[in-house]
Amino acid sequence: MIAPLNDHAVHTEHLTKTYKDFWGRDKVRALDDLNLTIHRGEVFGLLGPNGSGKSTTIKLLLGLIFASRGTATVLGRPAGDTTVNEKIGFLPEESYLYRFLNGEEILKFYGKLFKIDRATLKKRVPTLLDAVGLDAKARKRKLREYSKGMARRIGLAQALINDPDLILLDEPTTGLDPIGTREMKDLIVSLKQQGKTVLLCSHLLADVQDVCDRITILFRGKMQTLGDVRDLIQKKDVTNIETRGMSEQQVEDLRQYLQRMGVDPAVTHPTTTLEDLFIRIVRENTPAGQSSVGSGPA
Amino acid sequence: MPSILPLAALLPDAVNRHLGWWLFGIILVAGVAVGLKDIARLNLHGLRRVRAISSVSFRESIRRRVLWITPLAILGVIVVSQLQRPLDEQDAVRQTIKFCLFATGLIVAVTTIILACTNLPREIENRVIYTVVTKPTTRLEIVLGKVLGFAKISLLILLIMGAFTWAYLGLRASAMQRDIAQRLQSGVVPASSVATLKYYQDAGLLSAKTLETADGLQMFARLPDGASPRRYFPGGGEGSFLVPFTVDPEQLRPSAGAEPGESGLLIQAYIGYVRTGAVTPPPASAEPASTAPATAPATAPATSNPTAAQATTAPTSKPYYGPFIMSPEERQKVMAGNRPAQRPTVSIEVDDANQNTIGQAVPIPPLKTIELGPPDTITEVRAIVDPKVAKQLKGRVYIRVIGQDPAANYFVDLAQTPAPANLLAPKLGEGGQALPPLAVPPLPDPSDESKPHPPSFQTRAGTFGQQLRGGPKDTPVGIYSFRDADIRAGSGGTVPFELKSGIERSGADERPDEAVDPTQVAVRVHNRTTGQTSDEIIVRPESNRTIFFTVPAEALSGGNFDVLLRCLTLGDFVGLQNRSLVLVTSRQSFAWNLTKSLLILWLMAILVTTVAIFTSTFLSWPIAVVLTLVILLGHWGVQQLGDATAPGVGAQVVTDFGLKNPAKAEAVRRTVENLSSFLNFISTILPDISKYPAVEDIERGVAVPMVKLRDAAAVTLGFGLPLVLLAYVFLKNKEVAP
Repeated sequence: MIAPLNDHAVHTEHLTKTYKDFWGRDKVRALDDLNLTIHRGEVFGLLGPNGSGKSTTIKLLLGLIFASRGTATVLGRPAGDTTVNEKIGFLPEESYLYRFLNGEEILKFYGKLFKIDRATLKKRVPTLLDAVGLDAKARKRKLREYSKGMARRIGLAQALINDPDLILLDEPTTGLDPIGTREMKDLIVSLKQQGKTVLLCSHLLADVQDVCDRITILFRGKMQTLGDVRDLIQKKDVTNIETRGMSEQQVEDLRQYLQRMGVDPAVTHPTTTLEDLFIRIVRENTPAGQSSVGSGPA
Repeated sequence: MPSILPLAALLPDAVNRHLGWWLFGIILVAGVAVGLKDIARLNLHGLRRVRAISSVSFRESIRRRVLWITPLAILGVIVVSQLQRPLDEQDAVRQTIKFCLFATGLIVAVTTIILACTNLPREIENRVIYTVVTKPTTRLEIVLGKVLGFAKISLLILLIMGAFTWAYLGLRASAMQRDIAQRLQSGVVPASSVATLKYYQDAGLLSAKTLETADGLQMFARLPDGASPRRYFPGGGEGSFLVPFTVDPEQLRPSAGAEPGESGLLIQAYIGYVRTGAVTPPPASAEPASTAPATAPATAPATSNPTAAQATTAPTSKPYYGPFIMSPEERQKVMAGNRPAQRPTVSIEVDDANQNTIGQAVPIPPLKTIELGPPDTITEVRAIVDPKVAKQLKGRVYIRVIGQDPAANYFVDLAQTPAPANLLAPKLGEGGQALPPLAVPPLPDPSDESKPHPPSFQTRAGTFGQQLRGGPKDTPVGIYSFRDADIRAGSGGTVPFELKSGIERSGADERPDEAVDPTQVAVRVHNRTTGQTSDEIIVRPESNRTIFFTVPAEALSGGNFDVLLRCLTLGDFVGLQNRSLVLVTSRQSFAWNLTKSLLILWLMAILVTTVAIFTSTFLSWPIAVVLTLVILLGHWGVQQLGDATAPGVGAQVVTDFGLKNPAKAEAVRRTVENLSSFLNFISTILPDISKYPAVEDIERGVAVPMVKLRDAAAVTLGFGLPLVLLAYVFLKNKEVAP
């Protein structure tokens, strides 16, 4: 069933972008006939290798570039409409920010571009800086002195300054350490819980798999697949049974039982992920009340 | 504007004549139409966004240490001002003001161009613009924010440089005034400089004067007698009178189908003369005196004999008659033909709007000279203007009548002949028979349109201006007429005047020994309201230097008066221009005058910013810098080309290159004409930076008139507003993701 239009956070029809050379001749078709609908409240993943058209799609949705053909609407308004930007947060691929301002100044500047009253802005800036893990010392330093991870965090803070309904994250975990990556993923989940729509653009598939409800995979500008993450990756002919505390004998008995039923099972011990191991070690060694983010440049 | 391009020629005349205004209107309407929605968003929130963007641009510039340029400029000014060689204290102050404001204008303009041209392309290149345009910010707000931000930076630079200029000049001026006081007290000042130095001491060196200029300068052979309608001008080629006309070429067409001026023209003039005694002949080689400072430089040893310095001045040049103009003597000889003239003669010329000679009128054959009748009566004389000359006449032209006999004073009688020279165009009937000529109506008198414009009287032009011949008696008098002047008496009930003239001298061998004294000029004031004439004041002008003298305020009461100047020194010629003598009506504080100059510079900086931001919306920054300079300097540059862009330059080039082949000549002529027309067209739509005269008034110690601020604001607004709208439209349609 097609959701009503006002339920669409993003909707594109035959969206196409062809880059031209100096003489106006077609140079490359970066996006070809994209028909896509992202519902409100879902976390949507835009996947694909480099040059597949992910960033082009995001730029088109934000009005940074103009479509060669087709249409795109964002929160019910044509893409690039200035008024709709009140409800959009955008974290670019790299943190393209004014490098001579400090953390606080940059958030205040971006806050002033929205209809946020002074009192709210005054409260929201430190809250956001806390939320992204920038301590008091870091927020007074110029952005040009920030490490890549710190720049990513302040970039995320500016994307959330207006409490947006739709957040577009372009490679959000680039430059983040595993803890930062985990925090980012947790944040995305928490945004979903607040009813926000998140469009996540990445080629780090594990990150996308962890947080996205639905994904599409683009390749050479064309949409290759679209659907629910679980549906797309589930091996329906494989069954996993997990349990704790079984003895070697019990395992052997179970294997023989299954063999008698005509099934040849592979019995292994599951492993944790390196990410989980890393986070556990860092958290165990971080003194209480301190951020795990270094204050010095990378 | 004349029809300039093939395209422009197709436009209606009303559009063509006001092309700049039409372009302004079209851009404004188109910009508003395209950006109506975004303009409507410029509410309080919109203005807050503009301010936020401007603050970031401002802060970025500060943190990039742009202001470090100001101490460098200050250091440069201090060094250069120490190297200057001024004529006197006032000149030292003026030169320093010029250095300061020149340095200020230069660093403001350069800084603004670099900042504004590089800002937007850099933000697009490093993608910072992504995080701004994806906020609820319109492209109009971005453009306005940038303009405002850089306007703030330029204002800050101007404030720093202004504060330095004010303090530095204040210190220098007070030190020099102390020095002047000491020198006056010790009595080492040459007599010719005492009045000027006292004036500096009283008025200060930094004052900003308001000056009033005379309606005009007239040079007569004799002082006009109020009751007599006669106006005398000297002979010997020295004096002349001019009558202005506005010629419509149609008036000069002899018959339908004939070319205007094809049959030539006839000039009718009414002149009388009186014999004079032996008079000093005009110098065969009048030579300008070199500039001699009235006051010895502070470092030079003071001399008790000021004339010693004057005596060393040597003639440096000879009078220049131009390649095609005969000297008066030669002209008289040729005009007289073989028969020596029995009576005084005149010559008649036709001059263009700039009072340069277009051609000579010749006597009606068989006469060889234009000879007058008996003395003391008005004689009607006639002369013919050649068709070649007549065909060139268009718009403002003058008839100039020159008295040739050195032993006569010529006169016109304004009661008998209010228009002492007439221009007559011959007319032919259908059968080719001569009809009565048509008189080209003389220009009306601006004060009474029913009367013809009165003639203006001039003497021969020297290096500096019209020459006022010196001598003990029977010498010409120069009259500056002031009307409704604003008289404000200063301390002592006097009103100051400024006189800047050029002194030229006959060869030293012709000069009597006693004439080595400084040039003396007698000044009297004739009050037209009261009919009173003041006592004579003797002033000692120096070549090309401003001197001051004061006149009792009661002599000027009512504000309608004539200032009469006569040179008393035999062999000296005082060169005068219309603005050589000015009345100082009031003074303003230097700080206020400096503020006005800085405001003019700021308005210029805002225009520079808008041009730079406009170009940077569609060009990379190096090309944007070049185009910005072209836009800013284009109008001025075309003006500097002068005659090279005047109509007819194509034919001139063909002649200069001696092209014989008609096809090639026509191709070259047309190409050059089109190029010249294109340059003219470009200059009409580009801003005129001469409307930002921040230096010239304050440097001369003159109060900057508010009208100059208004003109500068008009140029900034007139060009800035359309450019902001164009920049917005370009940016709105630009893909900001590279």
